[in-house]
Amino acid sequence: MKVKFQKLGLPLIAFFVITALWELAVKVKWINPFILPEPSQILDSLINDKAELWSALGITALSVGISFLMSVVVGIGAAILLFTSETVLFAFYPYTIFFQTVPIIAIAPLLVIWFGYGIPAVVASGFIVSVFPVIASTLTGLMSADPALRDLFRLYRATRLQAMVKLYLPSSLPFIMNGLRICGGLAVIGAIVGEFLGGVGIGSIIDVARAQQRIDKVFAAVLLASLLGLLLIKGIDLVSFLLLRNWHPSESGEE
Amino acid sequence: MIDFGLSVQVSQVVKSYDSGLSPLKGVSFSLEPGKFLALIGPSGCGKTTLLKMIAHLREPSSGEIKVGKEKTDKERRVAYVFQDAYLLPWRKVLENVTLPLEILGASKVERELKARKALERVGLIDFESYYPANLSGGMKMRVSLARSLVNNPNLLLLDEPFAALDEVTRLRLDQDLRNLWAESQMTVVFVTHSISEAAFLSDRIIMLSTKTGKIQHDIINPLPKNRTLETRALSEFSQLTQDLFLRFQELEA
Repeated sequence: MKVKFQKLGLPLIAFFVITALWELAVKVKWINPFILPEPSQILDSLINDKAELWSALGITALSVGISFLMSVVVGIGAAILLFTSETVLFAFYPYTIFFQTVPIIAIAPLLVIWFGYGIPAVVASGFIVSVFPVIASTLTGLMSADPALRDLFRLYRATRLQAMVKLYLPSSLPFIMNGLRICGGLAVIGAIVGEFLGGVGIGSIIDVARAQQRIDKVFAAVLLASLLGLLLIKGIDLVSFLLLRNWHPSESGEE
Repeated sequence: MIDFGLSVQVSQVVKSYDSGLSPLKGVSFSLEPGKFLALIGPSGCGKTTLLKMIAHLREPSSGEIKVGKEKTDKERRVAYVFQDAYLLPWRKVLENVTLPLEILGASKVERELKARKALERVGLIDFESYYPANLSGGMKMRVSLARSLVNNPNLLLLDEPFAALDEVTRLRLDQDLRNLWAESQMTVVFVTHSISEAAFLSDRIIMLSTKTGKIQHDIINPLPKNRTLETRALSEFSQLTQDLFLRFQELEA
């Protein structure tokens, strides 16, 4: 009972208190509404621009979903390749860091030139930003498989494929899930940046509304984007729980 | 079934590391099939390293180790039990025990039949669908033992397997291991730093010295072949442990 209150009740109370204070602060003109709109105005925008916002959210969700899945598949695949061959690791790992440090805002216009306006450029942007954490965390996971268990597999003359499937990948799962949480958040950011230039989805709405001084609409769109990210990360949490609850302390709740 | 266990031939084995550390400086012994050997010595004497080399998990810097030289690769079934249970935590008990057979490509029916038999031998048949996280330390070690037995090994290597367990569990597992060995005629090499464990379990005790990096004593265990709880109360048992203790102390002095 107490835990439930802490987990659900407290965040809700905090939300209402802060929203009420915010509303009050703008109403009594402590804050200029052109700088920060009242929460009620954001709600109005959410209702009035419903059709436009929801269809944009659908497009953004699709792009985020595709870039996330691409990052998962390519990231895990790349990590396995890097792990399997030392030559590949030394030759290519330094360049994977490019994905981590690339200033996406500078690359995004190029993506539009390469892929044209629309979803493909957005997906590319989301993918570029979100793939590195999957590579890095999977690689760390593969490398931290227990040495004694590696010996055990060697003793029984397991093939590399057997060792990968039965030992390395399962023992990397907690690391991979952690990488996916980071990847999910970044995929949302990357896609929205891509949409600023790609001309579709929530990102495009933010861009246009900002130009029109519709700050309430900007906030409404940002709110939806964060909800999308939240939903994705909660989904990853659920998958992580289902996969790890029986054996990993991070999800089994045992000390 | 004659000559079921593997022979072990260790000749002039040296192990040195790049760090300059050189725990083994010329170790030789030969172990006949079906014997139970205890390897003891102070920590750092290289007994675990030697065991891993017998398992072919590490290579000696020089010298040679031959395991079951008259046998083919296929007939050599070596099992290894580590200091901790080292189970795959994402697999249930039964699936942990079937692992070696799975790697060898046995059918599901055969795997599960043999795994259940092995679990029965270690007294854990009722726990096959548990995850390791829900077992006690002693039970995990039993599962580890079952996993090592599932492939009907002819050489079983154990590296201080019960050192982390409480004493009652340890005495019980010592007894179980001795019985399992007596039933099977496999060869066993058991690394321990416990004198009484070595005395209770083995037919032969080899004591390594950290200082010389060689075998200091090679002792035939005089205790009767049938070992029970009463064995520990025999005067021969206390004489043997006393004798081993004095030799051990000499090594460390």
